[in-house]
Amino acid sequence: MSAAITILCAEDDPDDRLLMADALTESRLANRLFFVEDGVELMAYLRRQGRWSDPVASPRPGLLLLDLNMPRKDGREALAEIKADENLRSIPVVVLTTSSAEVDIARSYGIGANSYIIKPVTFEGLVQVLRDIGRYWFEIVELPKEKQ
Amino acid sequence: MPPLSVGAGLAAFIGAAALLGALVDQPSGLVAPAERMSPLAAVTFLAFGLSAVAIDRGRSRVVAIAARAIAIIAVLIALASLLQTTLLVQARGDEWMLPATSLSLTLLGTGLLAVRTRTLHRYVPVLVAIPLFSASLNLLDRLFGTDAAGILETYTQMSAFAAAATLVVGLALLAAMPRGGPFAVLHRRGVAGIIARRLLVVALVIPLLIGWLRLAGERAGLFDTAFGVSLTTLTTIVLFGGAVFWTTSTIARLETDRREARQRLQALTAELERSNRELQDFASVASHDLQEPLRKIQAFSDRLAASHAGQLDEAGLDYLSRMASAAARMRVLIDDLLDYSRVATRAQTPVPVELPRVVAEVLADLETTIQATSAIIEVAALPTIEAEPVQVRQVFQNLIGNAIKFVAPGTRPRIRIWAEPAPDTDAGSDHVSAWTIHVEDNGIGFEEQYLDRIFAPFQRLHGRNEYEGTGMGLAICRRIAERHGGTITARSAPGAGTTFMVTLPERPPADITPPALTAEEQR
Repeated sequence: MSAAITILCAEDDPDDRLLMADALTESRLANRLFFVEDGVELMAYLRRQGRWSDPVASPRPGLLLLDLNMPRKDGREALAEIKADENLRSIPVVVLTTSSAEVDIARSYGIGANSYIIKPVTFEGLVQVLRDIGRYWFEIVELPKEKQ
Repeated sequence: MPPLSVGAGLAAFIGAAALLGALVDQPSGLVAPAERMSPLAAVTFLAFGLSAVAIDRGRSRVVAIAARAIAIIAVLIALASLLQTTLLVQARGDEWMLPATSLSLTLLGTGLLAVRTRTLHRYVPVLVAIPLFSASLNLLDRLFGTDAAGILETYTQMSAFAAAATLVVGLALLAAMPRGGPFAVLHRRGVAGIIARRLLVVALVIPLLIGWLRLAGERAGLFDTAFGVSLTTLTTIVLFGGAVFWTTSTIARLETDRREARQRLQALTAELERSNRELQDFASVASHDLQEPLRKIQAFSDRLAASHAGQLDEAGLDYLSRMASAAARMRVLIDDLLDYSRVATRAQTPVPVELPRVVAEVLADLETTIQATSAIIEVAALPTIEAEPVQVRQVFQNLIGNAIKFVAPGTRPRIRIWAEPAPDTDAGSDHVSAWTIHVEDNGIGFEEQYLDRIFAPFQRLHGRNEYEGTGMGLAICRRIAERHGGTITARSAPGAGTTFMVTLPERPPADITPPALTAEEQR
């Protein structure tokens, strides 16, 4: 069941994308990981627009990992749009960012983020966080049946 | 020149001249014998003169005591003379003084004794009031050719010399009061002094002129007394009214200047605050952006070491670990730099801070390190001061952290924290205006010749391999202390531990923002 769940990660930094992919492998989670590079691509993916229109190649994510600081459209804007959209608001959003600012934390939850995690500084930390996310969101928590 | 010496010296000169004249008993061509001072008055003025000069210039205690003694004797002579005339004891010819003179001399002598004391000097104006009044009236009468009658006659009748000498001594006594007495404003530079000096001239010359003109007019039969009064009144109103307008226009100009200066200052301050805020934002963003590449360096060197350990030899792994630790150090340094810059630019409102609570919080934060080193920390009673809580906490964090860190290997850290009132410049005041907090440790200590160095940014006394740190901690402490209007210093000896002493005022200095213009000033 949990293996079928797709994780979509919105992250603008290519190094961080690489580290995320490596960490997922290290964590031994069996989920598939897809990337988008900013808020615009994120919304396009979720709405099946442009190069993400094929539902097989771009499956609907069961969990969203969202960076806040991205070019063109940042995570905060995208979060607001997602939670305002009836079709998309049921996707759990975990904000995963380097920002520790109180105002970002408060606003994210205010808009409707499900969790806020400050990116660990070490790689090991990142691996552990992914393991914990996997265990929490895919084993402990019940997720709604996915629409396609 | 000290006015007391000048005035009394002049009076003494007059007295000596009178005495000389009396002794020689020559009808002086200048002044009729009846106008000369009585010899006793002359002697008394002479004594005053000597005493005053000695009080002013005397360096040794003997001279000072002698001066006072002479003055006291002179006063007693004057007093005796006064009692003699008022009690109508049989006089021995005209050797004693006239009542007005003896009264004046008694009061002036008392003033002379009082003027250089700590508390009695404030009575000098009261004491010289009557002598100055009598002498002035006497001289004015001579000028105008008028005569006093009745009780006023008794109190104004004195020889011209005596009146002159009394006037001089009286004015000298007023001028000799601490901080220049009532005449202080005359000596000021700037507008107050200018106005005072000019108006004084007006106040002296104009009434004399008006009075003299009126008398002359009456005597010449131009008008009678009643009309003379209305003429005098009108002239006085016009001239003094003019003086008022002239003075107030000068003051109004001053007020405008001052208000403009205030406005400029406010604008400058607002600009400064804006610039500070910009700088602060820039520092925050810059530090955040600088951290990001360092994070990557650390992360990827970790990855390399973890996943490709097999392909690297010992040297390779060593290089990687040095790389990673250098990146980690730089991250701490950037944070410290940010802290250092924040001390001055981030302005929170000072609030009452309970120091015991701050120390407790810091100790809780350092719990792990304290447990690891089995450190013993004793905290005595600490006061509550008004300060910026985050910054005070930083100071304690740095000082206590250092005390735990800089111990000889294997030593158990022992730290004592206590406070005492800082030595105050306002002696005798019950209110404590500043506290010195001591943080004493049993650590490695340092040579006091490095005292200035350790508080400078980036300065360290030890290599990286001995003790970790960026050299910013104490620099931040000093900046915080100075921002609160306090100081920080230390006492130490190598191997003998260190005591850091932070002095903080009960209330930090006022904000740099000048108070807003009052409603009055805005009009």
